[in-house]
Amino acid sequence: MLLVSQVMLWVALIALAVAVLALARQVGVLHERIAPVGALALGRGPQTGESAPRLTVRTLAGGTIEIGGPQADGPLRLLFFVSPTCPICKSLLPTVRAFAQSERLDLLLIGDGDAEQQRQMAERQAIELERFANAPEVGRAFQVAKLPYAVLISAAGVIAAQGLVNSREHLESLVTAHELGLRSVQEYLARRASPSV
Amino acid sequence: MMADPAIALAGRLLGTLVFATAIAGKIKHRHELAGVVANYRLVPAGLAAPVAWMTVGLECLVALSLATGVRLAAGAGLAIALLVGFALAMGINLARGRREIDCGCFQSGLRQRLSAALVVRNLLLAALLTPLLAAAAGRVTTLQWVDGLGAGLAAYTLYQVLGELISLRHFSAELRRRFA
Repeated sequence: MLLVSQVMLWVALIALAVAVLALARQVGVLHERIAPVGALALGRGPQTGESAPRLTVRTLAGGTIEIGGPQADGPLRLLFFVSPTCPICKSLLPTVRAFAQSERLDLLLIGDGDAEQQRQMAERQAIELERFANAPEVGRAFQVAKLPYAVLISAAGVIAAQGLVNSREHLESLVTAHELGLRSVQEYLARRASPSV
Repeated sequence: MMADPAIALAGRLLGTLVFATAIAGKIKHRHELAGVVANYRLVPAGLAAPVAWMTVGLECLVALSLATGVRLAAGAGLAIALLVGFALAMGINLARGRREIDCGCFQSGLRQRLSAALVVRNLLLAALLTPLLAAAAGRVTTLQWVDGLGAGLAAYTLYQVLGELISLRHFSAELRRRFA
């Protein structure tokens, strides 16, 4: 009796351990197959590789900043489109600022909405008012349809990368795409799917 | 103190399977073996290949001794020495900050970086083999056979699960960082 029950217990225990092992292996396989995530390019407005529209915007601090056009050996500029009514924009703002700092990007926030609300948002997030412009015309020029949207502009005034961003990974993909000379995550995935290209 | 025959059997089976898997993994990846040893930077580069193959030879002796029970105390002692030696090699490289090198465990399909968890795993395994140092030959009942083999097999499977979880931890940390 005891022998039989011991055999049954060991068989059950080992079967269970094997099941856990199989699950752990599967998780490992999943990790290896997770596709890299990137900012989604929306395919409207000025395309990556084209010159960025040239505009002059007024910042919340009162000064003016020129967007587009060549800048003498300036850093890459990151335009980040936000709105006080977009919750993801607010939660992503600290990440964007840390990211711009670590990548040495010239960050410029572009808002579209009530100026007073944006001023409050900037104060809550401790954003310098010189780096925040309420300029709906920029969004229109770049044809930004969804937020939060980011555009990376090279020193030559060319759109280096752009897309809808929801995480730090998406932001990183913009810089990576620029370094690899790719236009979007879609293009990267398409290339990976057909290695002959 | 004499170890219970069931405990000795479990330890022998666990040790045999662990070392047999390690040998199989090393032979399967024989072309990378010298490189892995060289990466540890503990022996001169010219000695990496001889040290690698000597390790495999010693592991074979351990597996044979544990499987057959011949010169069991010596085999168990060598096994413990090897495990503690590997733990030491990993510990030294962790202290140097070289955690990105492959551990050379060849246990799962995933590349395994060095981690404190691997050091602990090795020491735990060495501790589980210590009862074999004082194991006595004697009559073994059927129940002890069943318990010994069952426990040994279960422990080996759990050891594999542990290795898998240790390598997964790194992947999860990377994912967390990516989506932070």
